[in-house]
Amino acid sequence: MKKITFAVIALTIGFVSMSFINKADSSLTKASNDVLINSNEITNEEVKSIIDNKCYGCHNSESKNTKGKKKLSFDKLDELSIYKQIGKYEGIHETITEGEMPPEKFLAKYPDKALTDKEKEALLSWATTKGEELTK
Amino acid sequence: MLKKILFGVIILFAIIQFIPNELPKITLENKDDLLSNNEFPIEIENQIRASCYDCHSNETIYPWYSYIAPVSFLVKRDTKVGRKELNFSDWESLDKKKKAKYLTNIIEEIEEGEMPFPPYLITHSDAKLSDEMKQALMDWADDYAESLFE
Repeated sequence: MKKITFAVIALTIGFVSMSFINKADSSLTKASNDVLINSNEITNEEVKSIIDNKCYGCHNSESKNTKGKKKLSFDKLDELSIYKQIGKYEGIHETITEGEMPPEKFLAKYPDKALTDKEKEALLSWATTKGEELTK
Repeated sequence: MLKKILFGVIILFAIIQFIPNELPKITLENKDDLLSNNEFPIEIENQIRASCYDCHSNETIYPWYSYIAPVSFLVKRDTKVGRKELNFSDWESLDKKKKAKYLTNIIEEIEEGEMPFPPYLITHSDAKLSDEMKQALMDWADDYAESLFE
């Protein structure tokens, strides 16, 4: 009888403490996920939307702009060999630093496609990070 | 009338010779040079020298007519722009990411026939690339780039 009582108490303690651990664990995971989403994902979302809005129109593999498509297709970028990807990210960085893209002629027609300083910054840090990840 | 025009052209030609137009300087010893720091097959090395080095290095060979205006203006501009865009004399001072960018671009430009610059080929027949040589240069650039990241 004593043994059974002991076992029940032990199990109860076990369950209660386990549930605490679980709770603690899940809240921890949730919190760190939020942090991740805040620091990482949103920046990427930001970059993604900049590219979608201001670059992708010419720089995709289905583009009618042959030159833009050949130079850089964002949808096929991952398929290139590592050094070419590194080269492309380096090229993106230079092009934006030098203010060569979007092209002036294009901007004369669509002035709202110009990159703001904040967008340039986001693209530059993204290109740098990508290039560094691949160089490792 | 025709005589007057011809006379005018000659006078103009004479006058433009006095416009200062210093061509970019030649330096033969360059410690960061691509070809002096690397061992590539001799035919590749020779072709790079013949097809690229006049504009993309400090070892430009200026033909006699490059000192005569108005050709000299074009030569000055193309050499300056070429060296600024890519200078093989400074190659080893570039980091790996930049080298990757240049080698990627080299392959693309050879493939598209953008380089060597077509007007340059009019007077430099040894710079012209046969289809086999194009392929050999693209393969070289690809292998070399891969080797940088092994």
